[in-house]
Amino acid sequence: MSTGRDQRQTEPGSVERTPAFPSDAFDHLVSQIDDVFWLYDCQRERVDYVSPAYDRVWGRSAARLLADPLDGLNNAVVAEHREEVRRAFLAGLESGRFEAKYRIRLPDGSERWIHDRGFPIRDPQGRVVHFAGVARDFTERKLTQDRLRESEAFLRATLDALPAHIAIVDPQGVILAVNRSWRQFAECNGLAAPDHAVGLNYLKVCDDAVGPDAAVAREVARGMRGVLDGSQSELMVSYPCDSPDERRWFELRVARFETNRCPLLVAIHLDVTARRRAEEQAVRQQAELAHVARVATIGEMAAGIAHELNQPLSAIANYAEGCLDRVGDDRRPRSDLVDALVHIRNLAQSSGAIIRRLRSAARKSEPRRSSICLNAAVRETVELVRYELETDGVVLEMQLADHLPVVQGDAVQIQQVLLNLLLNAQSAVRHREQPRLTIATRSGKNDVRVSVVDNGPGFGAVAPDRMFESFYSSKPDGLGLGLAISRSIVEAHGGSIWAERVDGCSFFHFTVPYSRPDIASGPPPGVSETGRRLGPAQHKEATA
Amino acid sequence: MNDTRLIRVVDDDPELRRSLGWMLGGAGLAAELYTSAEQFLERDDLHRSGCVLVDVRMPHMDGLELQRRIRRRGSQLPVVVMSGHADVPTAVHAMEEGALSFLEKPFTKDELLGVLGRALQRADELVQREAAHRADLARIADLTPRELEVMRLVVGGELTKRIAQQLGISERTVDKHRERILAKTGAESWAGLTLLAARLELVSGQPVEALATA
Repeated sequence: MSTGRDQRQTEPGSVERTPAFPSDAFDHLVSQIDDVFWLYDCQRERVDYVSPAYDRVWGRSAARLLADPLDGLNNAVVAEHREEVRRAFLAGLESGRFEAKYRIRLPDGSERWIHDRGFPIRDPQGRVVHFAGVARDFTERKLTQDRLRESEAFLRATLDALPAHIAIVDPQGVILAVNRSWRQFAECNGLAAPDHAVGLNYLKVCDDAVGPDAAVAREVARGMRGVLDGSQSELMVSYPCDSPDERRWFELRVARFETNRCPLLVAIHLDVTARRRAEEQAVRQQAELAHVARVATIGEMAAGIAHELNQPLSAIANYAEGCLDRVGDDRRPRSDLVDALVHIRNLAQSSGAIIRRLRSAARKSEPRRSSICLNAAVRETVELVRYELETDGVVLEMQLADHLPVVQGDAVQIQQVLLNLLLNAQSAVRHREQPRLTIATRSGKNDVRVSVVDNGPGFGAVAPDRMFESFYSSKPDGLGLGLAISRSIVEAHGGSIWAERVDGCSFFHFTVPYSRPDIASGPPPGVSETGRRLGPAQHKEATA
Repeated sequence: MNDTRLIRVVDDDPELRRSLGWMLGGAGLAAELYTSAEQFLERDDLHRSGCVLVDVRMPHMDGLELQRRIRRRGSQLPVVVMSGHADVPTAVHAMEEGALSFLEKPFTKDELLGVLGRALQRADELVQREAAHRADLARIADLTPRELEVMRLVVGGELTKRIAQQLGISERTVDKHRERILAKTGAESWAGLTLLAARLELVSGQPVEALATA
């Protein structure tokens, strides 16, 4: 409201007679304007003028208002606003300023929102003689604002209703807002102050993290910056976040959204403990089944293993007997005895190795992830089946690639797959004229591939895929679990397994990825991780 | 260690083979080690007394097949079969094929020496039997074909008269033959000659010529 203009228009009743502005032009102009101008005579307490827009906005005749200044108030302004408007007007006459927002009901029943303002017009002595005003229909804007407010409230309610802990983070990493779940989480974890971590710098907290969480925290910070600068579309990280009395898992997802000013990040922390437990349960069950199958397989190999142990044990006994016979004989060179004793020691060690291999293959353990060199796993497994192969005169060729990337996985389970494939191949070729097996490793773009090739009779009419089904077996005494379990193991490692017949040879391939695309989202279920506590709990450590 | 008897160890497992050699050496027994049945057949002197200690389970030619080959070459060398398994069918099979004994690994030195003792005893018997056989053959080595003919008929129980008729010679000539036969073979009586003839299986009507060249 400009008071300067008020000063120039202080002559009472001069509005219609402005010399420079012909009155018909003024009327024309005013009729084009949707705002309603009015002029109130304070002395006579009546409306002197109201512009034509009044008829349109109010849906009432201006003549009635001129006849009764309270017509608009009493008959148009809705009852709930009427008293408020009346008081505001009277107060305005006193203070020289009037402003009110109110709703009017038109004769057709529709309603409009009016923004009404008035200002005084004074005589040369400074007395207020008139009040001039502008009433504007702002229904549209009001509706828009209401809708926006509703939508904000809706969004807020939605965010608050979500179980995930959500934080909005600005490009510098500062937490701008959090939802109710975040606040509750923060309160439960004694982090309510200050302000549920709003205002803290999320990125800095991650950057500064120390201890076992540091690696994951760093990964989160790196990922969030990547999402910010657009080099990655979103971030997903799972991490353990144990409460004092239970083991919990959280998953953090970070996505970017644009605002007029800058991009913002929404960081969603979801308690995935239940899902994680279910996944762990599934992994455990799979591991148990795998163990049963493994023990069964090793049972089938028992005779061979017994023989393999018998040989060194017999040799040890023989060497020892020979030593006992010679030890009292001074004429014999001592070096003979030393030589035999060295043999005894080496044989005892190699027997120990056989037992260790066997025990580790039969071991029942929680699935455990470690770095595996597949070449080493192949060699180890070949040692386990060496006797079986030799007995049947099977020639085994190993084609192991140099510089094979290390893969992540459960060594025992991977070895089980190798064992299954080798034993299957061995039983396929054992009655062949020239039984031959090849086991090869090869490095691919994203994975390491192991292939077991035999020159056996092949799969017959069976579709190669069927062989990977449970309880399918070509062997009369087979359980039919070997390949099915191999497949579940390989798939749990993110790889695949398949069979093909090429040029009279059967090929069984499996792959294990060495750079998992989701490696940033943490190891797969059932696998222990080192990172701990992120999200709200992270702040506790950082601010403590 | 003047023992000329040789124990042949045939086992593809190098440690087992060497350790057996070492143990046998400690027990004062001579051993020859072979890595395979094929190597044994190629190099071994089957005429040398002793025995064969062979692993039943080997790649290519197994222990049982080796035993068969040894017999096919006319040698009675005692064979002891070793096995890592308590594999009854294989053991029975080995014994049926004439193995002297079956040893299950792991075995103790005493067990092994016990079995080898029996095997070497058998080997000694074979040596003695062969020596006796050679001595028997030596006694009839100087007899002419006619004298062998007469001897066969005499120990077969024929009277001088029948022999003379059968051979178309005089009874006096038959008597002369009989005297010469006794003198050449060094026999003191016809009863002794009958036993010699029985050992050499002369009675069964085997051609005398075949015997003489044996």
